[in-house]
Amino acid sequence: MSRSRNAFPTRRQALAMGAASTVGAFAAKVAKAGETDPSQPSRHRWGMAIDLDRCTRCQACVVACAAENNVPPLGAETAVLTRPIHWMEILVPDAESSAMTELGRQPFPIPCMHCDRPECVKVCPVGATQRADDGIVSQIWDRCIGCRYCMLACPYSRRYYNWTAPAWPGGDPSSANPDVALRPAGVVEKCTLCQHRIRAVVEHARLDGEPVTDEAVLRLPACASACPPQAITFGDLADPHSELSRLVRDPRAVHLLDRLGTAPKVFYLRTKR
Amino acid sequence: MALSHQRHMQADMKCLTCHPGAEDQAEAQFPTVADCMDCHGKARGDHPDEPKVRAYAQQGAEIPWVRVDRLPGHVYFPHAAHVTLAKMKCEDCHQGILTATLPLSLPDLHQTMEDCMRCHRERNASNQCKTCHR
Amino acid sequence: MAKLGRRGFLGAAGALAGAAACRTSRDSKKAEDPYRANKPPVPRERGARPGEERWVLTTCGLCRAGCSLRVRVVDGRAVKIEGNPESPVNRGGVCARGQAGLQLLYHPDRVPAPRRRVGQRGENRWQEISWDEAIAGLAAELSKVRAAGEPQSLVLLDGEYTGATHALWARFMAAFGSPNHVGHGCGGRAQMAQAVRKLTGAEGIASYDFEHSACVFLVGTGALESSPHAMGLACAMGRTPRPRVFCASPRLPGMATFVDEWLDLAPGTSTALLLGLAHVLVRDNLADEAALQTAAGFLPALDDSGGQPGLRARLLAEFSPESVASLTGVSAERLSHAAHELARLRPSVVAIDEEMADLGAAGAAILVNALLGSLNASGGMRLDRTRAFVYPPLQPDVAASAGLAAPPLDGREGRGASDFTEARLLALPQAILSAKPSAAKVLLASYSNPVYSKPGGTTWREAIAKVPFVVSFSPFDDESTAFADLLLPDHTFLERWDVVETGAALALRQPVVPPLRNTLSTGEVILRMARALGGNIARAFPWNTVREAALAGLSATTKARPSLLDDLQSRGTAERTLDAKSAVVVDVRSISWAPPSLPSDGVRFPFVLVPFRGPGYAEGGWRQLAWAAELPAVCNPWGQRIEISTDDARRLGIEHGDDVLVESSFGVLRAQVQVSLSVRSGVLGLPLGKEDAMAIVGSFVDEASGHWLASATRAQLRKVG
Repeated sequence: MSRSRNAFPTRRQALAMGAASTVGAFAAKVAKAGETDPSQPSRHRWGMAIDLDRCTRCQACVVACAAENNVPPLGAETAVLTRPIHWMEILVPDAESSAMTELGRQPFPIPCMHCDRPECVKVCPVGATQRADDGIVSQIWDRCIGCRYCMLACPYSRRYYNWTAPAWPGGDPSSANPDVALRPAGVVEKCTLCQHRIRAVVEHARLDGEPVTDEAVLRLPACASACPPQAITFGDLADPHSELSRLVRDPRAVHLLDRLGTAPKVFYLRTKR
Repeated sequence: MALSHQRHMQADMKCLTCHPGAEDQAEAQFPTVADCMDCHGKARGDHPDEPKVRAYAQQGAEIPWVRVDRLPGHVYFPHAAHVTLAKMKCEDCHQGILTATLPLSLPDLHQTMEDCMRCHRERNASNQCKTCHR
Repeated sequence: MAKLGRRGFLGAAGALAGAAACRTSRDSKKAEDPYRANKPPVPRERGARPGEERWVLTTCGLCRAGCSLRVRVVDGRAVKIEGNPESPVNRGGVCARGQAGLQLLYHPDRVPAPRRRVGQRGENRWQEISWDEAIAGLAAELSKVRAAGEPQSLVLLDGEYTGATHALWARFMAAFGSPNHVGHGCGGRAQMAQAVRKLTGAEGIASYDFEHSACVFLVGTGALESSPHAMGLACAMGRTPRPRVFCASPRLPGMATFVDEWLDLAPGTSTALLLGLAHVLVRDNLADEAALQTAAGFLPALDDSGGQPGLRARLLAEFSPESVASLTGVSAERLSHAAHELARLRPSVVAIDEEMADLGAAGAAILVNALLGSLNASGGMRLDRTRAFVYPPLQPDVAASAGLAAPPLDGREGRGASDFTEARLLALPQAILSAKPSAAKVLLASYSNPVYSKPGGTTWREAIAKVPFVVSFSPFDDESTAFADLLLPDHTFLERWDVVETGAALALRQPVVPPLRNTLSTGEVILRMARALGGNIARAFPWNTVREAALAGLSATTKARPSLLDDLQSRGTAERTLDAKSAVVVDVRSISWAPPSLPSDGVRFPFVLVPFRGPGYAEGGWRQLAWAAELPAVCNPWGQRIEISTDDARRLGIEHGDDVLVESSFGVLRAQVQVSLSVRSGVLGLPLGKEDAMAIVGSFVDEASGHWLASATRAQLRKVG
């Protein structure tokens, strides 16, 4: 069974090691291209599918995300005061929950929906959150003033506030990912669909003069990469041949709270029982 | 160690020789002691500090470069995109480096975010927040 | 290339009069950048450039699955754990605990260097010593024991059953002369291992090929949470079509919604349930024909012969679904339906787990798998496992021979010194306390923290306290190191070299970073100890490093498979293939199918405690894996929960989140209530992991195997205040 995984690190590693050969190859391509590659609005539209028929709720995605994005644990004392930050959460609808019943009453993993019509962006007074042209709804830590309007606005409750400064066990942040900034206290944070990984893949593709392949991004975010049943698929909705585009047309596809008009680009696959 | 960039440029060296990452990675990198030993393995008698390179190499240690220019932790600057795609020259941003006769002890990069954005606007590069923010 | 305007402003900026001021403010800002992790310095690796990254292949050690990993190392620090797609064990996936492994590596509570106790045990006062002193101190104590002619008074608790360290310990104990190499396994896996040995003669631990199963019947919930089989099942769920999953257990995790059908099984009745399945398979002619005729035989034979009733007759007579229903609580219809699904959706497999296993049940699981044609078959239960590490037999000296002939403390049936399947861990505390058959003078705890992880309340504490000289190799201070006289901290799994054996593959473990503290791999300690002891013991270990020793032990394996080391180095893993001649004869004659008699004080303790290991549980490392403690599944992070059915909660007037006291005859535990729809009435689900949880669970022993009956403890529950 051949399953593609971890294309991102492999490419990066190959580039780091094969710098010499890469130089020759892309120099030729760039010379052919002529001028600096003029920036166009991104041709991509990133989305994600979570297959609930495969998902075992093992929560590997939760920790993979925390590890990749430097979301430190709260620690025993703070954990009783506020909910632990989980960019990828497992939502357990309680018995009385009326919202989000499109998926039945089962628990389900839920990252940021990266809506095409994001409510959070509308209410941010300082523009700390933006919808980029490739569909990622970004959160700029340095601009956030911590007013938390976005947390109120988000109908999926996928945003978290840093009540405390990030604290690693024993104060040793050695295992922090250097590609992702830490967030100080007073900043709202949320899933970025591992946009630092997407950016790296897109950049490397440009350096190579090659297009971004679906295979390279299929399991690109940390959650998708870790998931043992490969229930999480990432890809380009603007590419009609991508796996994700195929899945969005699957009769099992469900978009949460679609009726609100948020147009979430993260959707679910579920067989109704 | 009194590394003189000016002296190395006078010797017709390319920036990329010692900072190879600038071409295809985000970080430009620093030279390893093995890189320095390529030329300084044999004494060149250029400078009283030159034997220090061989001393490090002999101890099996790396030269402990001190980084003086550091972007804030929430900023992402990929050398590769600027050097290879935008075809900028190193000295376009690192102005003082070519004539520096001593290692930098203070930061020499003074671009503000507005400077970066202005150039991005002029060159049609993305000015979306997440392009440069981690 | 650049436009004049840009160059102009850059030039101007450089010449700004306020440049000095700008620099100063930027410097101070740079000093404390809240967006960047302020990491303690690490020695720079030779030839490494700052910011350079490399990926290291290694194997996880947080449970026994042996998932192969790729660890990203940047600037000499491990920053991310990813899965290795080459491994048949995890196919590139990593579970929640595995991801948190970095927290183990960089944990501040790691023991930084070898220590000797100062003051009384339990005062937690230590003096740091050098490794030379530590080895010399240990060797001196061991020499005393040998000189007194009592090498058998050395007891080794060994938490690993695979890999180089375990193999070296076995060799050491044989050279030293003690039969008391006691494996740490005492639960479901040990039961299964013993059942496999008794029923089929095969060595070792059963594993499952869920990846190719069309139907999986789980007894117990380990494969849904944190047992070593959980990864295999999770990977299998990614297949299209996915396997159909049944789970028979007294409780089902609230998150396990992917289970197609839950059979709420009364605790301790797995044997009856499984034999009921066997009955239906035989009764309705659903057993696999090929299995019946060619690949597998049965003892006694299926059919009557020579006036002796066959296996078929016995199953039909004693274990009809109707007759087992009253015991198991599972109706005949549901049991029959499950059996028919197992027969219809092939290949199918039965897998039994920790809290539900006794020897009879493990044997019954093997029997059902044989009837399904799933023994040593694709999608089934895998039995054969030749050990990867084989050392040439050593000749014990006179002192060692005498010691090895002494009766082992745990009362096992006298097999080899280090046999995981036969060691009886739970017999050890009483043996030590009573000093029968002999006294224990030195206790070594390697990869083992029995005070924390083993049932039996205070007996472990008492027993260890009685041993005059105790040594632990734990990388962390823990409940058992509190009793140690010497602490010789091991590396974490991310810092040492080894070859890990699992059913499906051999996997490489190698350091991803140099050791962070002054620790030493326990394998290395064994080598140095042997050298210090000299004589025949030293001669048994003619190697300088653990790697050398391990490679020597692997030489038979590498001879049969010359590409093994290359495969391990380049891919991190090497798949094992099933022996072609893997026909199995299943001999059930020595297994008793009578349900074990369980203590019952049903009046004072109306509930049955079902302990389990939830999704965040890792071998001894739960407390250090903070991410695992704060998983969404856990309703009160860092706290202790107790699961109770909605009916029982209502009856007792208890609500979700209430503080309660859970009391057994072994102790009292404070917990918060989690009301659940998937807990059987009369059962309390007890998640293990927090310090005091195991203390209220009794170490009831299955007489047939000497191993743990996990769901035998009874308890009461009452609200606090």
